[in-house]
Amino acid sequence: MSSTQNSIQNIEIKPSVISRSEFLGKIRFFTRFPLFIFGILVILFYLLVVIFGPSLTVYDPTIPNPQYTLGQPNSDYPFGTDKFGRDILTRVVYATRLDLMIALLVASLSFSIGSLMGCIVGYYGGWLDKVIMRVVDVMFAFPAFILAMAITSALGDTVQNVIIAIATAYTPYFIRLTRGEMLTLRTRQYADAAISVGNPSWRVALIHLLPNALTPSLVQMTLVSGWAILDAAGLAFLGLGITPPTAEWGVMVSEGAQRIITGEWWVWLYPGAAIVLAAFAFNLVGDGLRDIMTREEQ
Amino acid sequence: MSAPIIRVEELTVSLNTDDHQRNIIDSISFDMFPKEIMGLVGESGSGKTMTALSIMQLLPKTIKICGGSIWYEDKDLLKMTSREIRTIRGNKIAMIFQNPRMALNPLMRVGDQIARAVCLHCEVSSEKSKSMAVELMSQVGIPDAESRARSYPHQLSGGMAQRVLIAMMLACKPKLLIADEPTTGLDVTIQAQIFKLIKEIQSEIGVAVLLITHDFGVVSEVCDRVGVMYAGQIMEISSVIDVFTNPKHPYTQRLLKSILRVDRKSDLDTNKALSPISAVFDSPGCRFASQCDCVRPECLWERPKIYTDSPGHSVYCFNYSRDNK
Amino acid sequence: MEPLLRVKDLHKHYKDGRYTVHAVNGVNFDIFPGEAVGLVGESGCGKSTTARCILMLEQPTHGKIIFKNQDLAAMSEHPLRSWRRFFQIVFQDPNESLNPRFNVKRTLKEPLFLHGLYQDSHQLGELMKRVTLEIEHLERYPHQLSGGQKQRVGIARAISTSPDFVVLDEPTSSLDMSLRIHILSLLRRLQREMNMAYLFISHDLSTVHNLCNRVLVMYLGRIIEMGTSEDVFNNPQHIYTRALLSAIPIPDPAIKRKRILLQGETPNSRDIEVGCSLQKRCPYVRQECSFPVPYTDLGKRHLVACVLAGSEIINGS
Repeated sequence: MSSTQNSIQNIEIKPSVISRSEFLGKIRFFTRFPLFIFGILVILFYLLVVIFGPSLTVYDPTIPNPQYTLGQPNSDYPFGTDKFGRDILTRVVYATRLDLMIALLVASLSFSIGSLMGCIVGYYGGWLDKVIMRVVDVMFAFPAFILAMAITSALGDTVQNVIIAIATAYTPYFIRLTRGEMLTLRTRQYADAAISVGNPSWRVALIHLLPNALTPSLVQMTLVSGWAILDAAGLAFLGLGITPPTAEWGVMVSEGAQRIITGEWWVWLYPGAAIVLAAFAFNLVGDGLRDIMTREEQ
Repeated sequence: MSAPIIRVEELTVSLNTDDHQRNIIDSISFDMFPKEIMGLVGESGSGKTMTALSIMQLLPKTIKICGGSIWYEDKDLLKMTSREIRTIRGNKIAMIFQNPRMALNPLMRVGDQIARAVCLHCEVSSEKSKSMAVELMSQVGIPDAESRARSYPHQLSGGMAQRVLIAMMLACKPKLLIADEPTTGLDVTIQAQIFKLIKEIQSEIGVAVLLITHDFGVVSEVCDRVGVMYAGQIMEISSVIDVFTNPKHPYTQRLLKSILRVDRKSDLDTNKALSPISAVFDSPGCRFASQCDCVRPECLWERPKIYTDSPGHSVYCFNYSRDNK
Repeated sequence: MEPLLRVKDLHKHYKDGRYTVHAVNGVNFDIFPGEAVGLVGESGCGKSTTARCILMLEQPTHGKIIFKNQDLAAMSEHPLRSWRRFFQIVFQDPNESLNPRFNVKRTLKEPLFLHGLYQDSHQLGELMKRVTLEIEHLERYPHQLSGGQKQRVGIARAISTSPDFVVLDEPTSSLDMSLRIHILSLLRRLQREMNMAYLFISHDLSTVHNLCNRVLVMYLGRIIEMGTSEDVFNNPQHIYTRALLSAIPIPDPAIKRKRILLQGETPNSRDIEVGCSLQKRCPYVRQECSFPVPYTDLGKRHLVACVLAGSEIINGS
C-alpha cells in the first residue's frame, strides 16, 4: 500500500499567482476591445463628477437668480443659465448624481429580484414556472418604457416610484435569462453531485447553480443601466415621475425643448449630451463584456 | 518492400499563442507503404491527430507547419498550391473522423451526400451517381440501403454514420485512408463491425490505412505496423508483433504495462503515473526523459538518433544508439 | 450475510412523446458489504439510469431500493438527505461533476458540514492524503487541476462521509490509459481501507475484470447474466455476454479468437418485446426465445437469462 502512495507522483501545476508576462498578456487582451475601454473611461468620468462635482461647483442647482436669466455661456457660467437664471453646469452635475443613482438602483433591483425569481422557477419548474412565465410574456408584450409610464402614473410622481416602475419593467429580462441558464445547469453533473452529498434543494439552486447562471445577467445589468437612464429622462421629459425644479437631465431637456425655436441652444444641449453619452457608454460596456466573455469561453 | 506512398520527413508543427511558440509535433519521420495498415498510438495530447491533419493539410489556423516535408509519391504536399492539394485530398488521401455525425451535412440526405462525392470523383450523371450511392451503401453493410439513403444524419446511429463516411470515402477510391479514432464513442460490438469492414475494404481495394488510436487492443487486432508517439515525438516504430513481444523504448514498455486486459487480471499496484503531457513540451531533448527510468544525461538536451534494431523496427533512444556505436 | 443493498424489481420508464421508453425494466440484485460489483453493458442499456435510481437522483417508476433495511424509494426527502452520507457517487467526467466556482476545500468541506461531521481543517488534509493529493491543492479551483487530480477530488468528496456504499459511474473512462490504472489501484486501496461496497458502472469490461468480484451484465434494461468475475469472464453463458467479450480487442497479437458478431445494432428501448431482448440479433435464436426467459442457475449464484445456458451449443463453440 505504501509503495503505491510513494509511486504516485503528484504533478505540479504552477500556482495561480499572476506573473508579469501573464499580466501584460491580460492588458493586451483588453486592448482588443477599444470601445469597451472607452465606455469604461466615460463611466469613470461620470463617477468622478458624481463624487467631486458638487464640491467644485459654486452655485446652487435650484435657487433662481433673476439677474441673469437665459444667459449665454460665459466665464462665470460655462454652460449658460436657464430661464430662472440657474447655472446649467451646476444643474447638469447635480443631475448626474440623481440619474446615475437611478440607473444603478434600477439595474441592481431588477437584477437581484429577476435573477432570484428566474433561479427558483428555472430550478423547480412546475406550475409556478408556468404562471410566472405567462406573466413575463405579458410584460414582454409591452415596450418597457410604456410599462414604466403606466406604473409611474399609477404610483405617483416621486423618484422612488420612478425607480420601482423602471425596475419592474426590466425584471422580466432577468427572469427569462436566469431561468434559461438554470434549465441547462440543473442537468449538469455538478448539480447531481450537490444533491448526492446531501444538499437540500434550496442550497443546490442558490449556492451551487445560481452563481454559475449569472454571467449573461451581468451583461444585461450594464445594458439595463443605460436604458434606465434613457427611461428616467424620458419619463421626466413627458412630465412623469421626476418633476421640476429637481435637477434631472430629462427635466432640463424638457425645459430646453421650449427654447429650441428661440435659439437658446445651451439650455437643452448640455443635459441632452449628458444623457446620450451616458446611455452610449453603458451600452458599449455591456456589448464589450459580452464579447469578452464569449472570447474567454473559447 | 515497394516504394512508400507517404513519406513524412522531419515534420515539425507548432502552435503559436500570444506569448510563445510550442512545437506540438517535433521533427517526426515515418513511411507508409501501399496496402498496409499502420497504427499511430499515444495518449491524448501526443500529437497523433495533428500528424493526420498535417498530411491532409487541414490544420486549424493557429497551428502552422514550420519544417519538414510530406512526400506523396514524388511530390511534396507542403510545397503544393491549394489547388494542387485539392486534387489529392479526398481523391488520393481520404480521412474519416472521430465523430462521424459532425462530418456529415445535417441538412442533406445521406444518399445525396454520397452521390455528390461520386459525382465529383467519377464524372457520371447525377442519375447514375444516385444508384451508385445506394450500391456503395450496401457495400459497406448498411441494411436496407435504398431507404436509408433517404434519411438525414441525425436519424442514423453513430455506427451507421461511420459506415456512410466510409462509403463516401470508397467513392473516391483513395490510395491512403486516414482513420482518426473512428470508433471512439461507439460500443465494442459496433467497433468490431467497423474494423471488420475497414479490413475488408483494405484488402479489396488495396488502400493503405493510417489508423490513429489510443487502444493497444485495436492495434494488435487491426494493424500491421505501429508508431508510438509521446508529446509530439515518435518513440518507436515497428511491426505489431515486435512491439508487443520485444518493446525497446522505455515509454513503450511503460505504456504496455499499464494496459488492462479483459482476458486476465493485471497487477494494479506496480505502476508509476506519468505526468500530463503538456508539462514536457519545452524540453529540447527526448520529451520522455523527465519520467524515464533509464535516463542518461544527454537525453535532456539532445534528440536521440534513430536506432534500427532489426529491419522495420526503429527506436529513438540513446540507450540503444550509444551501446551499438 | 445480510445484503447491504437490495434492488427489487426496479423499473424506470420515461415518456417520450407518444412512446414510453423502458430504460430500466425489472432489475433485481443484491450488494453485500465490502464487495465490488461491476454493472456492464453498452450505451443505452440502462446502467446509468439504474445507478441514478439507486441513489435516488431519480424517482423509480416502480420497485424497491432497500438499503440497510430501509426502502429509499419510499422515503421522504428529509430523512433521505441524512441517509445520503452512507451512499455516495463518483461521476464519469470530473470536469462536469465539480462546481467550477468552488475550490477544492469548499467542495470537500460541504458534505462533512451538511452531515454535521466537520470538526476542523485537519480532516480535509487527511482526506487529501488518502487520495494522494497535496494539502496545497485545497486552495485550487477545478480549472487549475489536471484531469487525474480532478477525478481524485471527486473520489475524495465521495469518501468524505465514510460511506458504506459508493457508485462509481465510469470513473476512468475520460482518463488516459496510464492514469486509468492509478485511479483503479487507488479505488481498490480505499475500498480495502474503508471497507466500502462498490457498484462499478462501465462499458469497459477490462477495468471491471480488474476491480470487481462480481459482475452484472445488462442489455436493454434487464440483467441478462450475473455471477462472479471468474464465472462471467472465463465462462460466459449468455450469447450476448459472449459476443460482448469476443468483441473486445486483446492487446496481444499471439491470441487469435473466434468472434461472435451480433447482427445489426442495439434496438431502442421504446418497444420492448416479450421474451429474450436479444432475439432479433442472436445467431442461435430459437422458438422458446419469444417467451419470457427465466434465469438458469449454474451454481455459485451464476444466473443466466438464456435458454441455451449451460448447453452444448454455448460450451462447444
